[in-house]
Amino acid sequence: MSQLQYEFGAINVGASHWEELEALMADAAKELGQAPVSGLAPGVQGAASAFLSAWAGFAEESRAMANGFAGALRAAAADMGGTDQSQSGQYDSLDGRMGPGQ
Amino acid sequence: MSGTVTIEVPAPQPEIRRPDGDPGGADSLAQALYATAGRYEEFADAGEGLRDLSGWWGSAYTAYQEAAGTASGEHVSLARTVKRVANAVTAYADTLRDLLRTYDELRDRRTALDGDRADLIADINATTDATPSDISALQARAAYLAERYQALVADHDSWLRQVTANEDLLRHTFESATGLGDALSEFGGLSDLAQSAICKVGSPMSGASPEQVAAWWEGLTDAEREAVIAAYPDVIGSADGLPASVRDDANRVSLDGDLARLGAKEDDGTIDSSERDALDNARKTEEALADADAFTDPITGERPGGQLWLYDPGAFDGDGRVAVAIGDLDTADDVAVFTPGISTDMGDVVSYANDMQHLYEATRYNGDGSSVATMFWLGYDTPSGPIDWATLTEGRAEDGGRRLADAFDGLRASRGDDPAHLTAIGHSYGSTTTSYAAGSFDLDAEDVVLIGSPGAGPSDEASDFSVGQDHVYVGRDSRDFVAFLGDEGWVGKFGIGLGTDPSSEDFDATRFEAERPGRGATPIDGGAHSSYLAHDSESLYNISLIVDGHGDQVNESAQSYDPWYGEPEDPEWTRDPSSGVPGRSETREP
Repeated sequence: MSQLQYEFGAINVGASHWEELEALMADAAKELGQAPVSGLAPGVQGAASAFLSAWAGFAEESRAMANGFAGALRAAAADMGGTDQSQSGQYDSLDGRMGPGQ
Repeated sequence: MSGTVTIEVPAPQPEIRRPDGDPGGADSLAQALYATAGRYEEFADAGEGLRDLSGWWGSAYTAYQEAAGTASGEHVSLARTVKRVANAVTAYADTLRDLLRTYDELRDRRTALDGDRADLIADINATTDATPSDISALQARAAYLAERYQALVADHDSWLRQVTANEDLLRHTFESATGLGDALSEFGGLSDLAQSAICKVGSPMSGASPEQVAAWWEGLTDAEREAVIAAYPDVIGSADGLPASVRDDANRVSLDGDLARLGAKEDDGTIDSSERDALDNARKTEEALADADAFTDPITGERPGGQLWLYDPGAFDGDGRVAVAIGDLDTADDVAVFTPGISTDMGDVVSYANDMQHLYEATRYNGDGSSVATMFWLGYDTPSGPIDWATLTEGRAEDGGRRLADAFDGLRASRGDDPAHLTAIGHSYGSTTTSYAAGSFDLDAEDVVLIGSPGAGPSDEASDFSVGQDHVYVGRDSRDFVAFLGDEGWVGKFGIGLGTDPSSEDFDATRFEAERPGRGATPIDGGAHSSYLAHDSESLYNISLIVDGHGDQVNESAQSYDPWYGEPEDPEWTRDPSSGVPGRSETREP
């Protein structure tokens, strides 16, 4: 069995950074979708539009990827928190005292 | 005598159509793509950093790290690809600007020819009772007109091929980066034309010599040339042996890219300290280049133009590498290369490029009519200040000397059968660097000038230099405390300098007048060390003669010397300096 250790602070900070990347790539997807091709010769505009459309999609994938990382980290933190909480109930019911104090 | 004579008047041709596209609009697209590249870079960098979430161990963490690492790596590829496409769009816009200028020229020529044609027809129609001589003259005019129309057609065809090639190149670049596989590929955003051209024998990516690189460039088609500039601007912009105009084109693509990409990161708030340094360097370079482009030749009133011969804003831990020229390095009869000294970094490029304007002006003003180009070259890692250990040693000067000699080899190779008169000018620690180039690395120059020198590095005598003793010139202001450091006599300066004082009798170079007007009373006159290129100074006057190829006409001054019975002495200490005196220190129109 592997060794386990969690520090919630680090995981939550990591999740926040992934959320910032998510926002950054959302901006990228939006701007690529709006990028102008009118400055190019007509013979190039079709290839440029196809490129921009594809890359807006890639940026959206990147956004979703960052969202996935952030979500997974938040979920891990939540799961561990929940597990810790439920485990604490079991340990609360244990009595380590001897004699009349039990 | 009566009869009919036919004079064949050529038809007006060709039809010249303005090329489609708008450079400004293309630049806007490039800006958006550079911003995207910056965001992918940020994703890649941050993703790599986010692999390490300290305090978390276990199988889940291992899986997370692996996934984050993969994401980071893929985004490195995506950033590289979209940056290449952005470079291609920038290069397309730059080329389109050139093509539009040519379009205007072609159209003007056509208009002029049509005017001549109309005049010819009018003269033919007005002619009655023409003599054989009249007829012969009209036929000659018609033939000459036809010849010029044919030349215009040929030039137009060539121009049209360039228009088509420019559009094809950009289209192929987009197509090479549209699929996900291409976007993630090592070659994403590289046109087939660029890839095949860069793989040819003699390419600068093959470690070829400057001469081989020059031959490689000569063997490329126009379309291949445009393709490699767009795809590999970093490589082309620093390739010794290529024409300066080509390096300039490539470096301007890189500069525009850095300004847009790093500027977008600044706007996004994701710029880091090294990127901040690079952006500052890029902005300074943009300013210096704008000044150089706007500079006006004092004789012709025309703009000789600036050239960005070297551009690497992230080099040397953020100090940067850069070379900016005034004039055309590819065609100038006389070319001067100025190497600076300690504490110089890319942030100083505006000031030094301004000094190069002074040198250009003075050389033209006092010159023999030959064309001139003057370049500020910061191609080595200068020591960072007087108390930097590197300042007290010669390692940086030696490395810089090797690089300077390589740069001259590149300039020489790029000129092929049209060699320029090359002058290397080294200031302060840069004079030691220049001394290494000429003393240890066979600098391929005609003349060498050392100013404000703390020592000539490896050379004890001017005759050790590759250019020969008669072509070594030294300017030393008697109040320049840095120039005071060089060794003189048998005692020397106890090792504080960087070799022999090149103004001394022992070194035996040609020393020229270089005293500063308004000089101070002591050797600690800070202005002296930084005034060698000031207008209407003795120093600039004499340097301009050397750059112009007339070093034999400098106003010589007596060398310093170190008598056995006392301190080193400088005969210039007591001579009154001049300023703005014709034939002594006048360097521009009063």
